[in-house]
Amino acid sequence: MLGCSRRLFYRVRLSPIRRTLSTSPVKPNPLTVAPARKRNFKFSYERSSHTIVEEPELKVPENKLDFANYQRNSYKLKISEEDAKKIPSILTLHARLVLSSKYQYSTLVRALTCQMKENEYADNKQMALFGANLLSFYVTENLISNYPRLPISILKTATDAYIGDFSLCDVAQNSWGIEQDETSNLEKYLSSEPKLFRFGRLRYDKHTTQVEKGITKFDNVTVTSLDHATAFADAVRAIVAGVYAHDGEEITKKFIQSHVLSRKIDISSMFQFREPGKLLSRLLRVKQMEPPTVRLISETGRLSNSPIFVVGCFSGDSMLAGGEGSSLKEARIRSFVNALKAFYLYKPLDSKMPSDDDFKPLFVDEGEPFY
Amino acid sequence: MQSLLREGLKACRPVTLNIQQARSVVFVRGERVRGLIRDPEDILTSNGRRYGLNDANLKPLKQFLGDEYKLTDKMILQVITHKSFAHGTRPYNEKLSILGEELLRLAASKYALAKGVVNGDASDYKFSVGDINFDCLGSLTHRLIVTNRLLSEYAESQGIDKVFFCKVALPRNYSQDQAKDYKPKAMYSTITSSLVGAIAIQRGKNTAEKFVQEKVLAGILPAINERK
Repeated sequence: MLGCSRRLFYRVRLSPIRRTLSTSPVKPNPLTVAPARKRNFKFSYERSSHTIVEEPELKVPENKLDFANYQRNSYKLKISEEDAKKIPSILTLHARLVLSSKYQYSTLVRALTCQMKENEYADNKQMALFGANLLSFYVTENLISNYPRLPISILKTATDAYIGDFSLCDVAQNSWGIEQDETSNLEKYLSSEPKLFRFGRLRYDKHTTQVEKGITKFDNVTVTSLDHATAFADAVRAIVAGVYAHDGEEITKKFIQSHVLSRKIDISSMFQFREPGKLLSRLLRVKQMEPPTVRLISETGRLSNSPIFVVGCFSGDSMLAGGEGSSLKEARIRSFVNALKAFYLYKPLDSKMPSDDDFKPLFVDEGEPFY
Repeated sequence: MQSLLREGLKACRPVTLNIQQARSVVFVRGERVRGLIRDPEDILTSNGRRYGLNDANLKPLKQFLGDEYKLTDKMILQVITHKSFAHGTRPYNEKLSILGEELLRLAASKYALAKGVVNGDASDYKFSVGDINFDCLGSLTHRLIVTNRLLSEYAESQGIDKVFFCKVALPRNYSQDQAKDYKPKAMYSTITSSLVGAIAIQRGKNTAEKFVQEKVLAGILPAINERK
């Protein structure tokens, strides 16, 4: 009895101390400045244009601004143009992409070789970096001139939808028919495949090993290892850089337009509005327009189990957008969303890009901070 | 009797008074005071300078650009306005700076590659691709060219950050007197990058690239050299 009361006493007395001593289960990260190597980017297209190549693998000249004399230490071997012409898959890829006669076959071989452990052949790492620079400029320019009012977050998501790892991986595998080198040396020997033919496929250090069908083991994360999508995307980026090196920037721009920007992405579905009414009234206030009013335009079957209401969202006398729904509330919210999308997805007629020859000054977005 | 009534009516006659209502509102300026309304003019002032489309505000940037890279006044004002200013209600430079940064990164890479061209003879360096040596890309020097630190230092060295409309969140140990010297580099770098973006949007990519080569890189590369 006595022991029990003492235990209770301690529990009562110590509990506030314990509470102050206990740490939160989610401990916040210490506030430190992240070094360049640790920088995390949200989108894969941003990561790809910030690749780092540092000194043990790079021979830096005395004068660091002498960019002509930088050299990679690992480079010792190169597939010659004559050898590259013997590889069927390289010839096919060259023909399929309708590359010019100036585009060398050995450049395609290099574009399909990623940085690997104990690899002495020239790889695509720095070509992919330059290709990423070209791609992200031309895609951003295209989006800004075609959709000048896109909010920044949607602009970046749309850019990633064009040139992120997964999209470019899709281009490489499904449009360009690039394959990865999966067979072992023994299998190649048994099928009496010449050694040279492996350079016609994408070669990279894989993150994972396929133990058996349906089981993937994530056991091989090293400095040089890449995941499937990044490796394929880097090959595409390197091929784009190759077009620049052999044919110049104008042809590269056309190449990007026909292979990347020609793909359809649905920007409208990237928007998610939490409180569309509030957002619209704030937007109209900033643009010095009258606040939104919703008016019923037509309706049918109000007393039935499937009514339809059509409403219009107005600012003063001008109708911003219409909306329909099976309840008045649904129709109203849809009209707000449509009005917001009509604003953000405004597209000028006959827009010209800054890199076009017959360029005209663009509509300049002034920006608004709510989205 | 009648006179009495007349007197009574006179007394009941309403007296007309001219009362003018005037509401006096006291605004508070400077630091926030709980319960008092802030002066709306306060948010339109940054570092003691009133926001507006006037010569005093535009002069530093106009002088810097000269006639060759002339921009419209409205655009210049947008370039020197950060998103943080006036709760983002005035035209600001965020999107211009995104385009400008992409262009800067491309122009920096092209500059490095142009230095690496092997004079039309690819046999000089075995691993060049169509006369271009890609090996310098991704190196520290190449990465340093487009960084917030150097872009903001460039803006400061050229004196184009003298007028910049922004709202800086001061660190705790800073007093209001030190506010003028506190220039967050992520914020001040947008002056340079959005200037490049604005030239691209108004005068085309070729002019913007020429601007980067002649003005920006010419200022940034010596700064990198000094840091070695």
